[in-house]
Amino acid sequence: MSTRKPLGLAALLAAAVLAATVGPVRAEFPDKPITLIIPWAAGGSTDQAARMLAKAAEAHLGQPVVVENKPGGSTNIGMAELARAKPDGYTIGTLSSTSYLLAAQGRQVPFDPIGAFSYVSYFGDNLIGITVLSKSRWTTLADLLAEGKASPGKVKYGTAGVATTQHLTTEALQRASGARFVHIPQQGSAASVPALLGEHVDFLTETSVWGPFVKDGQVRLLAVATPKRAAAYPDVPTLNELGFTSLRSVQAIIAPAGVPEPVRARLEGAFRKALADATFRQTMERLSMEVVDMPGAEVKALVESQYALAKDLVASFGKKQ
Amino acid sequence: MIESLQQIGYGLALALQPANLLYAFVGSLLGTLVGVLPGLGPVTTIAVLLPVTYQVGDPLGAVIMLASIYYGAMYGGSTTSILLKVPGEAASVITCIDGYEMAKQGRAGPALAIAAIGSFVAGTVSVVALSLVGPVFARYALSFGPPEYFALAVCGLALSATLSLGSPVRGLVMVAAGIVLGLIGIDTVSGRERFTFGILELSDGIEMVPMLMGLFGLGEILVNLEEKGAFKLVSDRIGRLMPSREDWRRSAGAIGRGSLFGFLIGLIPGGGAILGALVSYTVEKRISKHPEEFGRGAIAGVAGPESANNAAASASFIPLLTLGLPSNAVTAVLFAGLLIQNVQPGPLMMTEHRDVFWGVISSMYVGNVMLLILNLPLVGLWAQLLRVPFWILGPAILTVAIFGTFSLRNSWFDVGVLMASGAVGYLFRKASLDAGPLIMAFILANILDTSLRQSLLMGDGHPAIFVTRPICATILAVALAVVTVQLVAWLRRRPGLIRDEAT
Repeated sequence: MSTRKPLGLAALLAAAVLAATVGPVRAEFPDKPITLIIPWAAGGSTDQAARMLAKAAEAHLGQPVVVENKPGGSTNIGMAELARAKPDGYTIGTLSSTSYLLAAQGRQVPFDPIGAFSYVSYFGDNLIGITVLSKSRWTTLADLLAEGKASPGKVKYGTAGVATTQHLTTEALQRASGARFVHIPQQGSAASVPALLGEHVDFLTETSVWGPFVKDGQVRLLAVATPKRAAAYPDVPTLNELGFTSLRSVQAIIAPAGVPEPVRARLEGAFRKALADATFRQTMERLSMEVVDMPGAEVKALVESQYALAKDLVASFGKKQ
Repeated sequence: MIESLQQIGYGLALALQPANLLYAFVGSLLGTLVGVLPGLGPVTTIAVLLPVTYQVGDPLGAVIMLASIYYGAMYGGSTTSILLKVPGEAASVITCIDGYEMAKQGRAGPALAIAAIGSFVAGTVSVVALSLVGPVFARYALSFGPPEYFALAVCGLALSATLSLGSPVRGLVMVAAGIVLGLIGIDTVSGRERFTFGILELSDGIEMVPMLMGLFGLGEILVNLEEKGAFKLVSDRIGRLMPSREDWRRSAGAIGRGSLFGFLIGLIPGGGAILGALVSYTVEKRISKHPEEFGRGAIAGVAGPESANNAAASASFIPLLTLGLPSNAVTAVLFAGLLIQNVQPGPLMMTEHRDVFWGVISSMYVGNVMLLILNLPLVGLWAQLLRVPFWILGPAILTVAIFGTFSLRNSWFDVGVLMASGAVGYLFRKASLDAGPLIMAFILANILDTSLRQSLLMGDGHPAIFVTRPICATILAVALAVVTVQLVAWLRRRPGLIRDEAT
């Protein structure tokens, strides 16, 4: 140990001299690679989009952004790890609505679903739509809701699972319209489409997995749940237009709570600038995700209001059951 | 038909391009290698190679390589099963039963040969079937809804009871344990956690791959370590490779039936190579003129399942490519591989990515020929791999298994599952308990439970839905028949049962 001391001292001295000549001792954030935790398996839609976004943000940060997939527990495992990470800005992650919806549903999570994070930026909304088979008797959402009111419990619908954005959006729709449908949860979005095509459910509220089937004419898209009409389906009305509330399918960049504001702002700047990247936009378009730019503060407010809405919805359908 | 032939011609022209031939060869070689090495399977390998394919740039080349790893592993897996009684990869687990017995009797050569030939025949037949009738068959898959899945799961459990090697009681205990383990995690229908004891990592259930690797791979390694020997290579020499005329007579039918069942099961979303092999083994045992030989080195017990797992592997490309529906862990990883290459699997793939669709299917013809050459004359070479002293191979496999497990989800918990399953697998071996039925029940438990409740929701709570749907009713009738036949047989045997138990 003692033999090392002089060397350490020398290094300190050198550093001090360097600092004196160059400027502030602490290098500007970031001075080392940043880890981006994606709480989903590699290859999924969030993973593909976030990887492209991270690549684009590297240019604005001047440091590599290393993606780490931590799937499991419907994002809970990755989110728990992010919540535990040191709030220095070198560990950030992606937020999907799935995470706080689980908590809203009453699932125990080892972190505060809203307060454990600071909010960097938004990057998009998954396109969620209500779809039926083209040969079905429903040509508009109103038709479907009318039947749901006339014969409650007869019409069955599928989503990726309980307490997903898809499920809660459909619950909100039932509450507002008075229609009654039976939810048949599927094991993930990929399993939903065959359930509709095989006529095991009557309609689907799902992310854009129905895209290719709408294109080839087998499936009819009745409404979309995005705030604005989807670029790829300009003729399809939004739920908001039709007078219903819909939940956002949030895709955002977050960090652990307590990240110093200058660092958070630096990340926000880089990730919002990255939204303009052509490859990222192409990826989003291919995945039928809408690119949305939003400052961190607004993301936080949005997530808080969505969380409250979801809790309210869960309480009301909990009573119904 | 003519149109299909034109498409295959077009695909072959692509598959025979030098670069694509090279990708198919590299994939076949890698597939055989990971198939031979226990603990390493196609899922891990393809998952590990996904980032590499990103660099390939050409979607067709990348997908050809990934696909050939998958069916290559189906070839290689049998070698280890026969020589070591360790499944080189999961779908070869059935081959262990009779293949290893044959090897013990000095007939490793014919066992290896018939496995490779059966794989080749089944692989080729199912690729032909895939290219001719695949798109049509895909439509039938859609009529499989929750009630049909439920019926299939019931049927599978009924079948897995007959597979159980020891006494029926031991088999039933393992099935029960498998169901309980399979129910751990979030319940699809209510969204509630079950049997997780608040452990976050258990909320998706126990991860299958580390559990499989542990129960079969690590358990075996531990037993081997205890015996301080080399890997228990049963015969120093593989011996005469070519099967005898009698072997051929007994295998030909098994290969044909295995190809057929494997192909049909591979088409069903959720069906896969393991299930195909399992069904084939059960059928062969049932219809054989020499059922007493099963478990004691019946060549049909090697030929059938090995053909079936290859046919199922090829057939599972149909739901993957035409429906965008991964039917098992390997095709799920391949699905990700396609997406990385910007190719969306689904009903539009045949038109939007015609080159990839037909190129990959045609490359399977080429790949199967390469694999026959790699596995038949060169089988001795692969067996040499297993002759590496155990003190090198054991730890090496252990390391690869740990890395592979960790790489799947970057999860230390999964590594823990691997270790724990390894310990349990060791104890099972010591207690002569067969982990096969446990794994089957583990996989089927989730389907059984979820599809039962989805069906009841679909049928407004009335179980009538199970008998009013023709496909479902038929499968359930088959299951009932299987159980009845077994029950009758068991009741007849019953006086002798206690004596059997004692031996």
